[in-house]
Amino acid sequence: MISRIAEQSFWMCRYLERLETFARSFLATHLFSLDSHEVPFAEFFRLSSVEKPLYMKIYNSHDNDEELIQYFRVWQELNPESLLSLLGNARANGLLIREIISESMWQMINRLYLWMHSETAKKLYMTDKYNFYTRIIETTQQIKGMYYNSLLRDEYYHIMSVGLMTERLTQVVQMLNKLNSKEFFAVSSNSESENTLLKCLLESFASTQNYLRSGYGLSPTLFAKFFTHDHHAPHTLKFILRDLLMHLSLLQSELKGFEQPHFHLKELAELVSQLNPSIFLSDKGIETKQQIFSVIIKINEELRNSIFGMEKILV
Amino acid sequence: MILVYFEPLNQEASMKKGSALADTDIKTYLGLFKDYQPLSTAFDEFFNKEFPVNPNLQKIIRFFDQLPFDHFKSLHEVAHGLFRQRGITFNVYSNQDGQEKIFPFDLIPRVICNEEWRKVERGLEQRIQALNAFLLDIYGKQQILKDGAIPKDIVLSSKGYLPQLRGITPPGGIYLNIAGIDLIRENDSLTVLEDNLKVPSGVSYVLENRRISKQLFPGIFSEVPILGTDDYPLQLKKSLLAGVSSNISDPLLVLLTPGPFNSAYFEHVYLSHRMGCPLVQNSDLIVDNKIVYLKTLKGLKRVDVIYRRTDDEFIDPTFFNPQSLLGVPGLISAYSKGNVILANALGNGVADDKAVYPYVPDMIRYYLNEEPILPQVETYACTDEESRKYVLNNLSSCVIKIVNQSGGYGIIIGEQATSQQLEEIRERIKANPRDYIAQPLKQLSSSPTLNEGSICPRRIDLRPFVLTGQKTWTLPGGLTRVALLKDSYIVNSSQGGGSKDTWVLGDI
Repeated sequence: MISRIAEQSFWMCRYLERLETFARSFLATHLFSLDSHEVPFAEFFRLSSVEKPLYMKIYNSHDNDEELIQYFRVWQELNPESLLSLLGNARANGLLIREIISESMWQMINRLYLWMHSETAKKLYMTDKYNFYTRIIETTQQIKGMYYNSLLRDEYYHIMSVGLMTERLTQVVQMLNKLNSKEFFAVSSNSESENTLLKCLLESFASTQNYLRSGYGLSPTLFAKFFTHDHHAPHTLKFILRDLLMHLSLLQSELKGFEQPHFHLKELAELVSQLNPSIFLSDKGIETKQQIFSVIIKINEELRNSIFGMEKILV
Repeated sequence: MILVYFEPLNQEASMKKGSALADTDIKTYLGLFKDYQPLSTAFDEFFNKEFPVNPNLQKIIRFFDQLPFDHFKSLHEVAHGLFRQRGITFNVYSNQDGQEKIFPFDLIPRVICNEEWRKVERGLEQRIQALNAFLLDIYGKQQILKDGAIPKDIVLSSKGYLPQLRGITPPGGIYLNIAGIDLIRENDSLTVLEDNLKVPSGVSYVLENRRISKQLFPGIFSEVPILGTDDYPLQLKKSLLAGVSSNISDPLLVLLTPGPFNSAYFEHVYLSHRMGCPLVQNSDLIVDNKIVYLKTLKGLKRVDVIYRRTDDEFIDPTFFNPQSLLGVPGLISAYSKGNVILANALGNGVADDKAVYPYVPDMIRYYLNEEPILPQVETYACTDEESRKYVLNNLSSCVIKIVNQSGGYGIIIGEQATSQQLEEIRERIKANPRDYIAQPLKQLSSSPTLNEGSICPRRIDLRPFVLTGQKTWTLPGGLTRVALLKDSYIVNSSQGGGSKDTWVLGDI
């Protein structure tokens, strides 16, 4: 396993997962906003503190223009988190590891990229956002299906899985952190709009059916419980951490000098297992989020120093 | 999602119908080739005096003729889309955008009859054998120079000659694991135009062209025996591993690429994929104690064979160009110790130097005691006084080439040059005669090609690929390159050329 390829494999999967998550959340927001004209949905179109400076620099515009913000989040190449940029980065990494991914997988990524750069895609975005976002979501799912079904179960596969799950972990934690956002729930004046917000979040994480099948009622507390402790659904902390641990264990057994990430992950898994999910509904949720993020950062650093350590000469 | 599903236009029925028509005259073709006019000055690969003779060629022509023009045009768009989807691209160095470009593909193939191909195959193998022997000799005893069989100064003054490598012999004495020999048709027979012996490229397009042809025209492949090309990657791997010592039970072969910005990066990826060997960049390798290792996370893994797609000059900054960012420091020390095989070997540039090219027939006679099977284009080396005089007096009827240039760059076609260009080249030849050769302008053969909205004749050449390992193996056909611009003779991809599939007919 060459470290350069390991890093590119890791990041290709992170970008793909992020692309799908963002596309889902934009689709969910679009659909739910058609039902409700309440202010809460402005939350989804509000720029974060990280995005604001770049947005203002490019457009020199007020930040409450929903269409422009959505455009910024989908098409703006200068925005590293736009769908176009994420797809470009996924493809760029995929291009550099073409010899280890299947031809079909590469072609799928490339086709999506070419489509996003075509007039057809732009027209579809303007006229039919549902199908626009659906295409991105379905294609990304197919790509991930191909990775699962066609890759050799070697170190590259495990590294890709680690990339995918690390990204998912980050996104889920950020989503859970929304639950304690004063802006998020303060503007929901009644339980109906609160439920709509929760449903929108469930859709964003492909979890609506899983949630309902698991028998949870719709409330912030149960929502937090599901996404923290449920171990069957693939977008919950418990599931993600278990999966990450499995892939890291398999990597650890194959590679030398790779114990630290495993250690940090066990630490995180313990933290989460003892977590009271309601913590995400209070101010303490921010602290918990920071704790989890700091472990993710440590894991990433260890990966950088070990597997991705390009300066490291193994002698 | 772009789904490509092409339903052939009842190809079988059409072919049966077509065979009932008279085949002796282009005028009998009333479909795609209805208005086709072969060039009066060039051999046409489809419509020529050979035409009534080969029934399989006739079937192919009939097959294409029955395709309605609009449908055929739409197939070109489908093919273009397939190339884009698969990412079969190349980067043009001079293109500031650094855009990935599609190598234009024309759907009408070039067809070579089996008998002619057998002769070409024998000729290529003979030529490669002689060139390999030349390289072995030049980096060894230099007997051919001592015997005066070819001019010493031409060889030793070649930029491709690397005197530092004298005395270093690659394992098995194989210098030319992979060769690409450019052929044109002259006087009805295929003739050698140029040798590409350093890092010949283009084979991935051969394989992909065939894949797309089979996808779009399955009917013709079941009707006519066409030699396959799928074997190439495995044959390549075999030839690359041929020089490995039998002591090494599980040799590691890697493909060394300069990286994704190289014009042929797609080919590097493609071949490493098909051979199942790692694709590496220079930073993935390290030389320790004159042994090359691949940096893996399980530790250093010894590398036995490097299929290098990096030029000699850049391969090792401690030996050649110190400013090279593409090389592996210490690689030559490992190579000279015999601890790693480089394919192709270093120093091949002397053998594909255009100024040395006129002497290849002499090499064949000298090393093999045989007459060359394949003719080559008459060439004037400007280092020779008589030749230089002739060239300077006949610039407007010559094609002038720079001896160490490739990709079609630096070629002056006298007939098409302005008087200012001719004057400039005159001065340059006088100043540096060693850097130039000239050849008479050859009327490259032409082939029906979809261009500018109609089927018209465009000039083509052919680059077969020859592999040398324990035995020599030639890929059936090779890359047919086509000059897409009207009246152009330049077929190179970097200068607007395209390609065609090459169909070598199986034995009848």
